[in-house]
Amino acid sequence: MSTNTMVRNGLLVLSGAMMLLSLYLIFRWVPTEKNLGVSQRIFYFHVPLAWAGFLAFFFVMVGSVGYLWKRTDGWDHMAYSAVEIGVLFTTLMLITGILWAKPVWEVWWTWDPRLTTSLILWLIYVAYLMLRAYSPRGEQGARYAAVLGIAGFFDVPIVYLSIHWWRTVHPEAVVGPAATSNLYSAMFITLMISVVTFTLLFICLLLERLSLRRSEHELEAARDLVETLR
Amino acid sequence: MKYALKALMVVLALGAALILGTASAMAQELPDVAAAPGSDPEANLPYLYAVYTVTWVAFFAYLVYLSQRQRDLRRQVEELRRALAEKESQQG
Amino acid sequence: MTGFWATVSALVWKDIRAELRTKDVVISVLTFALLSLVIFNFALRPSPQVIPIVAPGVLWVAFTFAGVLGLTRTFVLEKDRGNLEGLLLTPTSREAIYVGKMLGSLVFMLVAEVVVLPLFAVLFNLSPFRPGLLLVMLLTTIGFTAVGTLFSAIAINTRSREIMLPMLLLPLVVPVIIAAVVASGTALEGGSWSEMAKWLQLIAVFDVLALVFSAFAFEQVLQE
Repeated sequence: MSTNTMVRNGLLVLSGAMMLLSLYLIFRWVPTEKNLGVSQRIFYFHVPLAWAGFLAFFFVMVGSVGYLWKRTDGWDHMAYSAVEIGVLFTTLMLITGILWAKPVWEVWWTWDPRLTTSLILWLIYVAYLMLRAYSPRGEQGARYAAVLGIAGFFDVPIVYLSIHWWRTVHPEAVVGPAATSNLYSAMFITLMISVVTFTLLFICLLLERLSLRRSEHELEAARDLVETLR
Repeated sequence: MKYALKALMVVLALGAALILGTASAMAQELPDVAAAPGSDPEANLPYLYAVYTVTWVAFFAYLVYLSQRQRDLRRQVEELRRALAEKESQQG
Repeated sequence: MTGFWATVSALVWKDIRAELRTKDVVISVLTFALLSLVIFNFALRPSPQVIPIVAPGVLWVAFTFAGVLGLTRTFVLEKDRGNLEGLLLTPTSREAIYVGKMLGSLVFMLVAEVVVLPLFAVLFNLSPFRPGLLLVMLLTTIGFTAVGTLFSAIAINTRSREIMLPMLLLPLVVPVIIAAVVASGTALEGGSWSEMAKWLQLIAVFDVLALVFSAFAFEQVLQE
């Protein structure tokens, strides 16, 4: 067994154990929040999903910069794999957010800065996946995607700023999160454990996807070689 | 590959440092809104079930998708190997 | 440096001359923008009270979609005539090609906008000739075409390029569109410069970032 597989298996076992721990904490241990009731427990899914999604898109940016700079396939594999998982996590973040907003704010969706920015973030990386699917195979497609991977990452803060300003122009529409309520330490611990768990899960998925991507790439190269021999 | 692994390590270290900061910042921004006082704390249980179900179904579906691609890959490797063996036997 | 600008102006003049012959891009942008203004009027049925609220949004939706159409048109023509491939064989710097293409699209879009604006004013009973609005239009169109030129160069080489360009471009230009809508609203209501300052700054910063990034990225995109 190579060190690579050993690391991967170790991470898998670790994140499995953490998953069980955080499930116990979320459903048995942590006290129910007084105002929001049990629906507040959605928080322990929602925030870690959001965090892992942003982490994924940070990886995409790093991979894209690395690819344009060094032009080695490894960087591109990392960016491409991270986008897919990042889109998975942000999709879940949006769905859990909608399911949380309904009982708490009594609407499915508000155009609050954070919600809107998340939606645009999601759209940018869905466009990335579409671009990968539709652009020419190989090096050219990787370059195109890298440009978007960088532009998208640095665009998101500007999007947030503009929506934030826009919303403060129409204060009557602000329904969103505002106040600073103190988290009980139990809640904080549960959240942290959950964040670490989802981060581990993200890394496991990323490593799996990465090795799959690498094999696909090698297979493509092998097939091209066979074609030329023929 | 070596590059990717190294980069992964660097980014992981960065990420670990960021985790605490970001997550605690997010925790500070917990929505503190209405929900009528004195309402049944378990009234919204279905939403919690929905979140739990959606999350795990999605992860499961993604894993199924990954394993399907893996199977597809294995099949293609097998095809390629067969094609090569055939060619060799023709030549030899 | 003089060589650079000489190349750029040669490229822009070439595009403008070609456009004067066919009027392909400007006409399509113009009719599309006008049609959307009319459709919006049916869709929203604005009463005189709500016109000031919806009008800037209507204007910018029309400009944005018409702009996407214009960019697609420009690059499709370019691709069909094989101009870009020919240009890449010459030792022209990629930045010069980018700036040339971008300025060309900017001129076409601005021409179309300047023609649509009085029609918009008539259709919605507004008086749009305020210097603030013109400045917003200029700055926003710069940012839009700066990003748009980069991503049309990408979209043109993909399958289903007509859908790829809006997919790539629209989420990225959200900040300038928001800023443009709010700032033009202020301008149409006769607001002061200081009320618009924040938004104009946002658009200007976006323009600078978009231009610098796109000029660098364009080289990466065009490499063969």
